[in-house]
Amino acid sequence: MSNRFGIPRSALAGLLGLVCLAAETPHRTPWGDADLQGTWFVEVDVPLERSPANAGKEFLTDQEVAAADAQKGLNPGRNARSADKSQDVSGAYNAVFNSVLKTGKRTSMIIDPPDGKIPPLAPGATAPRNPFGGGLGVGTPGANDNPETIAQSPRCLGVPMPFLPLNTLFAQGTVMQVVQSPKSMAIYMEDDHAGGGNRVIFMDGRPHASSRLKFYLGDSRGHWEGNTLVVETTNFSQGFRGSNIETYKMIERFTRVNANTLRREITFDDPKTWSKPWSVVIEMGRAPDQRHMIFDSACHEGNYGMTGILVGARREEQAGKK
Amino acid sequence: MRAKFTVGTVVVAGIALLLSAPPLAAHHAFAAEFDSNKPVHFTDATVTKVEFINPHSWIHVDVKLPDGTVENWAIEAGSPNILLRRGITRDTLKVGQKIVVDGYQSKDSTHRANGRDLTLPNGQKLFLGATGTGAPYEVQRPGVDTTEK
Repeated sequence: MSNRFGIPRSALAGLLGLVCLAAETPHRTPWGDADLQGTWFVEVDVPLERSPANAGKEFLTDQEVAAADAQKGLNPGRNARSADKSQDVSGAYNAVFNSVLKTGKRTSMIIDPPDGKIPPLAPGATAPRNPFGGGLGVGTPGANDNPETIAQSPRCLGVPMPFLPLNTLFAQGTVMQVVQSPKSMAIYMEDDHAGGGNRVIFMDGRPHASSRLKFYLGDSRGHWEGNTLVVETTNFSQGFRGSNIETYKMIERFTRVNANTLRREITFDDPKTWSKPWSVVIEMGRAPDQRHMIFDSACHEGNYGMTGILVGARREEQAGKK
Repeated sequence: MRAKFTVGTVVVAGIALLLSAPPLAAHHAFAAEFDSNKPVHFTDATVTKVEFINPHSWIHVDVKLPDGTVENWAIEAGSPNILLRRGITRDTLKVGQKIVVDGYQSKDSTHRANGRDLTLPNGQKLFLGATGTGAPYEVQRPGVDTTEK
């Protein structure tokens, strides 16, 4: 049956239904997927693993959060001089150059296993040499022998995966910008000053690249499960915390919880490294517009520091130090 | 090489001994680049150029030495994105502005140092008050203005 505009009532009802659906899930792209787009910030500090002091406790109380923040507020941080000059120079900056995030309620990013700890290593696996990226690691003997032994970050090689907020003091792993299209998605990961990282996640059903091809940021494929984007990443050129690049995969679940919250859950799976898979959750929020801007990731051109590190190491060798 | 700049006395407040933070893992280990035995304290430094670049910003200053001669020094500062979100831009520090620099000279003894403390000649913290969008998700603490402006 039609009304005076000649539009069938059933069609009107269907249209109304769509409008209602849109109202219930307002964050949708024009093509109907959940809209994850925007610049997202990690706004609270949560440790990767649960401390012994918080054993058996998933969340802090509001009072405990307030007490922890009050303690942080008392700490003069980089405004305080250390009595040990070698320690003082290690910090190098005054407080305005660092971020001190508020304390999160979670006692660990790890939600599985429930004890908030990375599971034991698999039989035959060895502890990671440099858990946070390539090179020998900052401070490791021999790390400053030549440019290729220097850790990934001082070489401006960009963001190591899995891009976790492990060092929020230097805003590392804390800002990402998501741009979507129907068949692919891009995530720009801004990592303090180490150069950024651009991930492309294909969602058109294509298979992973050949296992012979390895990538710094891995090879990502995504698909929707309801309003959650599930992304599987393999083909890494370097592992995470010592994982075996042939068997390691990372499964992320991105969910827009509400207008101002993006939930990123990551499962790390490598039977050759860990006795079982383990998962973390990172909740990201939005900041006022003036801080939404993403900074250019160009890093090599201005990396005077790397020259300084190499020259400094040579001078120490000449002086007879190790 | 001439190194007639004033070597600063490291003042350690008692409270700092109690609250001093452990070494920080930053872009690089600063101790690899800068020499803790070469603290610098420039009381008369004039900004000549600001490089607002990754991985670190650099503030170039003309330092007037006690004998009246001038040396140009490069002072390493924070990464631009952190500064940007606090409302600090390349224009925050003006060419010609006088600042006081405390830091440590590079191990290769060139005219480079890290910006351990940057203050105005009147003792005011350099980046505070003059500008800032604030960072309300951060903890309020001494030395950093986190109020929204």
